Amino acid sequence: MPNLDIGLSGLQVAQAALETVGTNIANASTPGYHKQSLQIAPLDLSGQGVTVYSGVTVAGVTRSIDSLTESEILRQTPLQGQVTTELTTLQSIEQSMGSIDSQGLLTAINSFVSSMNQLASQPDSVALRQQMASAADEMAQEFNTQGQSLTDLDGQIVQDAQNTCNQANGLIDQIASLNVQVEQAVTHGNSANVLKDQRDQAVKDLAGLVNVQVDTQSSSDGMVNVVAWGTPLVLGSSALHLQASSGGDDSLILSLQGGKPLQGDLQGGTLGGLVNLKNNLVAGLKGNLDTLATQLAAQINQAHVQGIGADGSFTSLDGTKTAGGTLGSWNAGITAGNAYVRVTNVATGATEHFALRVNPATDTLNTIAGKLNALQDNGVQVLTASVADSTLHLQAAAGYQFDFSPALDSQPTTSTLSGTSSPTVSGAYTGDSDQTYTFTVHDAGGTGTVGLSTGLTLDVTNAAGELVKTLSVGGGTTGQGYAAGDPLEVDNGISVALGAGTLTDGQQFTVQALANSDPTGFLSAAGMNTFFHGDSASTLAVNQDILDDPNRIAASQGPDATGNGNIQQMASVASEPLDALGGLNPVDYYQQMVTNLGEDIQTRQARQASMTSSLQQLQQQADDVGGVDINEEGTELLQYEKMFEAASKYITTADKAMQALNDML
Amino acid sequence: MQSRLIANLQEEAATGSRINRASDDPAAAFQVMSLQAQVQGIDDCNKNLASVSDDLAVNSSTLQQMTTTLTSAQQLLSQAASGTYQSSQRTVAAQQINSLLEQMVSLANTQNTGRYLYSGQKASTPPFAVTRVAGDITAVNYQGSQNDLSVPVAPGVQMSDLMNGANLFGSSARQAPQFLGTTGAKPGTATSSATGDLWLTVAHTATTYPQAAGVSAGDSSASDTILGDHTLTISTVNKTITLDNGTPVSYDGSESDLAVTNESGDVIHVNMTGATDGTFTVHGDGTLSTDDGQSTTQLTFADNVPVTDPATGKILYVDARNITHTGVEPVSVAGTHDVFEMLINIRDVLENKSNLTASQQSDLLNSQVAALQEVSNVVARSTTAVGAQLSSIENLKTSLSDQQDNANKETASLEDADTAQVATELAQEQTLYQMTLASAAKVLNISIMDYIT
Repeated sequence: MPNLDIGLSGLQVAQAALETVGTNIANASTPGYHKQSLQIAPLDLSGQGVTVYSGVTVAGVTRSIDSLTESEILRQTPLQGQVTTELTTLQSIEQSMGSIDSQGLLTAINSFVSSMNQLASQPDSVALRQQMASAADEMAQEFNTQGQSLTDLDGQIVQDAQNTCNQANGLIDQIASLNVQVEQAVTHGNSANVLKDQRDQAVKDLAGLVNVQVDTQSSSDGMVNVVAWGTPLVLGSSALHLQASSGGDDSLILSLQGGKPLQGDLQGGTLGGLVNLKNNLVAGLKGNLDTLATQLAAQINQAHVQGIGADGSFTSLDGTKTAGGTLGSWNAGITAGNAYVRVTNVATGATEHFALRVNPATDTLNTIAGKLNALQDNGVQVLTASVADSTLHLQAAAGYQFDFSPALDSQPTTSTLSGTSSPTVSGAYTGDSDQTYTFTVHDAGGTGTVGLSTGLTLDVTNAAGELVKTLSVGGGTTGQGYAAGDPLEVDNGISVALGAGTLTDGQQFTVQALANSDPTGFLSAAGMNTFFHGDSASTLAVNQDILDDPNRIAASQGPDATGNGNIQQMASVASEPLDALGGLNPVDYYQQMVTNLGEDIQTRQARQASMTSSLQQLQQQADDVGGVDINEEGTELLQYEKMFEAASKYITTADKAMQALNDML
Repeated sequence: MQSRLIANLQEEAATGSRINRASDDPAAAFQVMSLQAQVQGIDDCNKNLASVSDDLAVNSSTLQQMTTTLTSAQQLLSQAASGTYQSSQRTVAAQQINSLLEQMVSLANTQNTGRYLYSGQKASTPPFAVTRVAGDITAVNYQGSQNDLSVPVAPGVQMSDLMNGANLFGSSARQAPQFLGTTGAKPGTATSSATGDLWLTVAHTATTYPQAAGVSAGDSSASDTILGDHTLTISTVNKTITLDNGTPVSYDGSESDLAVTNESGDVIHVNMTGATDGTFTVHGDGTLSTDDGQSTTQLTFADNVPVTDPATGKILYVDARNITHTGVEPVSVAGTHDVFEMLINIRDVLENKSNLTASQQSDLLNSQVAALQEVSNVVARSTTAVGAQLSSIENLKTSLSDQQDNANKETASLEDADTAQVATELAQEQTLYQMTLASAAKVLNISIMDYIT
């Protein structure tokens, strides 16, 4: 007896198969869709009968999935996401720095150095002074622009991170809700394939944003748990949201909403890339740029403070640093020690250095002002110092001028000489550190006359007590001895001349030679006659006084106001290696910065390229298994069409057989 | 991938540069940037070198003009010193010297592009200030900087641009002073700080007679010219009085102001009242001065009498032991002359402002010949030094331009794109790109669906 059921089962299966093929073709381009295949099994229709005839049934619809490849894709996607995010931002930074031939800041630094070198050739030229002031201003603005663009970028990154978090949170919600739907489908025995495909796609999308790990093992009900950086984001049906915020130290912090910040190395995905950009790459660049700006300014200032402008010494001067509290609290690296103010008596031209004791732990601008007010020249107060609006203001007493030049005073620092001869100091000290020279008179006769007494000498010893030189200031064969008033070279550029008169054996005078009048760094920190002010790349600026009057540029180290000693010193700063810049000079430091950025970009470009091709390969591999091949589906379409046809034929045949039987009956 | 390559190649083709960003080739980019800084540095040096070279060229030609001026002065001087000149001719020569002096001062205050060449680091201050009395220059003082303006002209090379004129136009190799007069003064053993030419005025203050001689200072004793110890011989027998080895002078014993002259022409005025017979020692006291008597030093007849000019503080040590009579002693300190002071002195001697005798004048002029030669040599030395600097500038220019060429070449080799290669690569990449697109289109085109009906 032909069983119609067999035909029916065939028809049903063929129909289901055609539907599957149809679904596959329809979803050929759906992202994340995996080809579904029908599992067909024979169906025992005979009960416990002996005769074996059976229909067919759908044993199940399975997703064609290459789990190993898919999990590898899931592992590599965050890496690619991170590298892409980093690369885009780094490239835009590089773009903003200008091309190699017109590196905005590098060109500006070089022009600034160049303007100083040129000013050194004509320190009296107002035009060249103007040029230098403009070049410095341009460089400062270039620093500002780059500093500001990095700061803006910082803000942009935080914004991006917040947007990315929102995007990720959407996906997290989607995964959690699909988890619920999958569970329902599974418990109701329905196919959850499409839902799973959707969920897999959401996980994959999420993997581009955060470094996810998917845990399918622990849940038997078809749900998946998603973990990122060790923190669960999806646990079954519950979703936990990410949020990005700026931390106290200006770092980017990721946390669960209402939870603690995520700990550890947050690598992977767009968010990982943003964290790395904000906290390492951009922060590093910003730090380097700030270091460069502040170091360059500090070095130029250190030299500038001690120089003299074309208009000579000051009668009054305003500091540029606005700050309260102790000097130590400025974080300007001020050390304890002496700063020196050089005061000139305008009438006599005599100069005197006054030591200003600086103790960053206890001194404030007010106590410094007090100490400055106490400085006296023969009982006359030489300076009036005041603090207004938290800046230091200095005013010279009538008949006096001041500056911070370390240039030698023409009179000895101390003297016990009682004879009629008086010494005069000249020259410029070229030593590297401060030195005190002691001159001791030697004369066998007790009192000698300069230029006359044979054997009259001065022994010169340095601070360490070492004999530096013996100066013969007595007479000799006619015309061969010492002529009063002739300068005698002592050491390191210092010369001493003895006036006509007598010197007494054993008496002494000392000459203090300063290498640096601001070893504590206080004067430059307080902005007394500095060139630049500002404490970061974005706040670096040339002092307004200098822009207003380029004669304020302290090109000279004295004694002449239009000398070029100091400007040469300043110009050399760009080529002096600095410890604070890792042993590089400022120009090289910036070049290194640009080169390092270039290297960062280059390695990321290479990684992105290899990552992309590797992911493409993996995707292809996955597609070979899970993708819809139209040709294959077409073939199946024909195959199941035939099956349907055949099953129909069988039913017709069976029907005819039944008819024939009926007719017989 | 291909489209990015094509974008890069297009940028290379457009800029002609292989490295447009550090990321194109970080290692080469660093070198390119360093080379650019180097080229910039060389540019600065070239600019400075050009300005120094310009200044030195003017400097050199100025010094040559000075040499010419000094040669004229030397000719004038040797003619005037020859002794054949009349005083009127000397006055004319003095005028000529004066105009040479004016010329020298104006040359010494030469400016180039508004900067004084010989003022050192005080480029905007005229280096030599003149003091004039009745239109004539009486002093030329250096008021420029003590320091040369040294300019960086090549990495690690400094060159004097604006110079200290005092060094260029004055010598500083002090020798013992020379005393050209007849007072008997000699240079002391101590070292004098006086410079150039100066006049030592040896004056008389009082003459003292031994009591035993009986005679005393006459009415006009103030105009006695003896200084130090002299021998006075009185013969009451012959009624004569003799000073040193001079001609005996007769007296009658009542003279209150008898002038007695020795063989050198020195004179004393004696009050002959109470003259006694015998040989006595008379002593003339006096003063010394180097500022025309404005300030005086007591003449002590010691070996080192310091005579100070309070205006300058400079000391002349005089060996006064052999001073016998008053006078004005020309003193010349060889090795300390400067051009201006020389010319002023020569002019003054020619004009004979100090009322010298013809022979003194001639002696002085002769002594100035050597001094003028000395300063001429100094200027000649300066000319040579500046000339040497100028020629070394030429060498520097060549070496700098070589360096610049090298740096530029190196930059080009690192940076420049090979245009032909870029074009070929660009064409290749484009073809590849098109093939990829075409094959993708083909692959997408063929499907079984085309064949199922």
